[in-house]
Amino acid sequence: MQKAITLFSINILILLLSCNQEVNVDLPSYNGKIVVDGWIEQDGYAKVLLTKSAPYFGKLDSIALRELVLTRAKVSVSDGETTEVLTLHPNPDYFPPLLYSGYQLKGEIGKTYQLTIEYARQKITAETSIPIPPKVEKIWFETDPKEPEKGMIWASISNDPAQTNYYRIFTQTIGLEQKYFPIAFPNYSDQSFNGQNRNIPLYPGTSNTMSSHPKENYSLEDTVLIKICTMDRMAFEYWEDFQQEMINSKNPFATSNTTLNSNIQGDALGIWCGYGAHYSRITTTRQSEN
Amino acid sequence: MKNYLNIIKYSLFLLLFNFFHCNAQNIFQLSGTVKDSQTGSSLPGAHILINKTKGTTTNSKGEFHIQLPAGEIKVQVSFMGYHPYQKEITLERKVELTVDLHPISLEQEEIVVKARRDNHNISSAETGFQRLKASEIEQLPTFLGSPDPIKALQYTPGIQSVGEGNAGIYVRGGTPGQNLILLDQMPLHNPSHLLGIYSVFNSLSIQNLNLIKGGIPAQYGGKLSSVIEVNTPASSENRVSFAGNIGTLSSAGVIKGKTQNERGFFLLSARRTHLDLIKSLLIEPLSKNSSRFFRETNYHFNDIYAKYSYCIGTKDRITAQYFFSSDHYKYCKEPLSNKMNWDNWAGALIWTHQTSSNFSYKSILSYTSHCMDMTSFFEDYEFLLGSRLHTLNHKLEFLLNTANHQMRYGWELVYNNTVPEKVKTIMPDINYQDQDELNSAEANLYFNDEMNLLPKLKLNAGFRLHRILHVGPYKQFAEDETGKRLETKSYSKYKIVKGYNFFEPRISFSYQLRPNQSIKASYTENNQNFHLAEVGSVSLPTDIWTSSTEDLPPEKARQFTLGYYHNFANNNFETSTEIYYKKLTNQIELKESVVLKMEKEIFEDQFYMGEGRAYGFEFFIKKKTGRFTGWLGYSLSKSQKRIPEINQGKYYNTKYDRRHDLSLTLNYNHNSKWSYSAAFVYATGNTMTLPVGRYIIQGNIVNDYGKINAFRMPAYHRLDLSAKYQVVKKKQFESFWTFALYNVYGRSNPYFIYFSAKGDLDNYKLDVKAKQISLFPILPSISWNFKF
Repeated sequence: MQKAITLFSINILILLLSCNQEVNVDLPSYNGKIVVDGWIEQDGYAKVLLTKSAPYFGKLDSIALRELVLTRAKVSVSDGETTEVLTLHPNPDYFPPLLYSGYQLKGEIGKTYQLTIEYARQKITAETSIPIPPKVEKIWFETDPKEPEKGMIWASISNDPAQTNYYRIFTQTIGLEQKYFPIAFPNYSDQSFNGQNRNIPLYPGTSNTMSSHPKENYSLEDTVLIKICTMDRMAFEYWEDFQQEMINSKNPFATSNTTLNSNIQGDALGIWCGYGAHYSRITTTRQSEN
Repeated sequence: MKNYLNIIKYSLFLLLFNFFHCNAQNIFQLSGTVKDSQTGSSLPGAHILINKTKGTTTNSKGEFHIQLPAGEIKVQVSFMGYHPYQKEITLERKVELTVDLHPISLEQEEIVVKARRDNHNISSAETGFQRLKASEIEQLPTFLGSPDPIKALQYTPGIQSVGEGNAGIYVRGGTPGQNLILLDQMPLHNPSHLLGIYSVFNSLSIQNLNLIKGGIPAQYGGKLSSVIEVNTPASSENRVSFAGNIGTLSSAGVIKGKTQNERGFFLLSARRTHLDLIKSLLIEPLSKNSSRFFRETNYHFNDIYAKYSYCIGTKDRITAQYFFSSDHYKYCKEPLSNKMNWDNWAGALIWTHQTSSNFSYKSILSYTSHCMDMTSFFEDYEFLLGSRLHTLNHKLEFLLNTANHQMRYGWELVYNNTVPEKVKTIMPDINYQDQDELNSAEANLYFNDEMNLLPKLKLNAGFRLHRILHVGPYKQFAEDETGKRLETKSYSKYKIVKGYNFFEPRISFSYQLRPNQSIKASYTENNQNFHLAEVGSVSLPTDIWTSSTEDLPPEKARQFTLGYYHNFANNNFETSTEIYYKKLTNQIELKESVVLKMEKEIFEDQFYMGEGRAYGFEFFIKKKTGRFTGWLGYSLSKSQKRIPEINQGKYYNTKYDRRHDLSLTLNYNHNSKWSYSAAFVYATGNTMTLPVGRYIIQGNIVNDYGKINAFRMPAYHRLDLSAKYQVVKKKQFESFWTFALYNVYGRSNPYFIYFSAKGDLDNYKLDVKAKQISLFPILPSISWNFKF
């Protein structure tokens, strides 16, 4: 549905873009804020990427981008009993390619995790929890009647009717991608299907929204890793806002002007997110089902 | 000698006696013709009253004859829909009268109840009042060949000139949903075409346009910011007449006339775009980049208005009205297709009864609806977004005129059915549909008295008792701590969910300092059941209309206006200077955007609620007669909002906050063939919220936004020119060409500014550019107009 509306809005925009020109805009001076992109899932260690935000029109080449990376912060994670200080090490799969990671404290289902970041006399905190992972009933592949060599992967999830569950879904195509990427419309809450099974099409995602056009289907013989996660409400609201922002920031027919709804406390941006993850794998054949 | 004198006295006595005696016995004929002062057409069925004791009516030719004894007589002539006429004459021979009655015209009755004098703007107690006549609207430069009455209104102070692509009417810091728009007393909800670029009013059928933005009298209610009355003619000079306009964007026609017995009047107007026909000729050469778009796009709009009124006897008139406008937009490029349709329709039945020359009443039963449907198909996916707004309204108003009072009182009953959002999604394996529906009822009792307290002091005072009821069917929900939606209470049909009561005082006065100078002041309170939440940065048919509920209480406005009015040069120049302060409460703002979440939320949770304030200074000068006519309007204003969840609960400027807003219109009648006009608009740029910083999350660039609406777009300014060439001007036939240039110096006025990020973080390259979208470059247009 979102896709349809987005396409409609873009369609109207084409009319407008015929009189499109570049302009100079004077923006007020800007002091960079700490940006947190951190997560923890069950049986996994905490991982945190730390950067600073940049002025909107600042020059962003390789040097400037590297300068945005925070390498001298003290990052610690606590489950209320144990506290671990994360260590920084390189990881080329991420941007920035320097990741704060834990080695002792593993995520556990139902536990709450406190993140503390200390940098240049500034202290930032955030809290998240790891919900029960989703119950994935089945995953299957359906070929496209118009393009028999391609198709869509589907996942069916059931949920606990006693509470509202929030989901975020990632995929990774082996041989094409080095890590998991969120699918095209990755966030769901079960408000509309509470207590029922829900079949979700896993539109392939992209590494970032600046990529040209995302592929719309999977090819036959793709091996795809699928990660379906549950998360808490704060995390869901952040990712929903994030999604809206990605779609709406260029659309005059939409409202896009608010800072994302974050769980980070202090003068900082970003998200600290706990995932209850369910992993599966599928190789797309004409009759494949996991 | 004495006898001689006695004879003379006696003779004189006899003479005088005979004279008076003969006079008392003499019967003379009083005859006459009663005509419409504007059109000159005769008025059959007019009521003639002599000394309040004897009377007659005019025949089918508008003539009357009555035999009366000689002497001083008082003649009163009254006719439905006209100002009464009164004259004292001495009847000493046969007398013929020609009585020109000035039409009240039922449609303009609200405002033009008094015969307008040249200094009406000085003497009346109205504040914040503007009237535009059809001739003034016609003279203004046109946009794509057709004059637009609402665009003309935006040239006056206090109405923000919001620029292209937005027919939203923003009056003194109010939103487009806060204007009571009446077409011949029928309310309309969303009167715009072409994504808001055009209004639905066909200028050919319009007689005049009235705007009240200051002291709104008590007979109007339900909207906070203004009353806009669009009036069409109520009588016709000719048996049948036709006027038409063939323009570059659309063509329009209107036919009007009277029935054979001259008791009935009819009007039918229609308009349709032929953009689909001329796009390849005009638009494609101007916008080369968009040629493909126009091949794949189809768009047209049309509107139709019909009314018929009939006089039954001398005291009653029945009028039936029907209005319909629709827009159809279609974009089709495999595998995507989009359709968007929106329409307005309204109907009314008006009965007016003139009990006596100073007492009348009218009953208006009207129904109006606004519907919008947007459908998108993409391969196996279908998405539908729609909204509905239906209103049934009955108004009964009594009008009593005495020497120093003009009283209006009555009731207004309203029932509203609203579907703010209707969503349907069909995807493989998913079939989701949902709609919210709200019902509400309103009851109003009102009283208004326009008084002449002293020769120089006029007072217009009244009140409105306003009750708003939210009625079932309705389900109340609440969220638990996990965000789960729980139904807490269910209401059956017509069961009252929540009721609100309001007392709305309305008062305004004028004090005439000199015959050509006055000061005026007004204070009004209004409450509004409906909220309009604007989805994007421009006013669109997709905007959400919702009636009040317990969590969305009705909107309220309090406004104070103070003004000084001065006419010069024998009323040829009119000036007005006004200051105002307006306080608004229970204003809503949409949290999310047009991209709706499929996950169902509690309807009312989609909105923020806060308050607003607007204050400003307005100046207006108008030259009314001569070869050069025109006006200059200037507003200095501020409009702000405060919402607890936004901007840390502090006041911020609204989207259409304009510090300066200037409009200049000039018309020059060169000779009987050529006339020229020009319009210039300058306005401070719209406010916007812009990103001040950016950051990276999961490889994506995310904006860090600055303070809300802290940035201003470049100023908006534009000059339009037009020339009119009169080919023929005869009583039977008139024809003229209009040549217009819109945006003469090709100003790229900003419609929207956005930022485009290109690059690849993996390769450490990123390029961000600010881009501005402008709608219309210089646009020439030509239209042929004719009347016969």
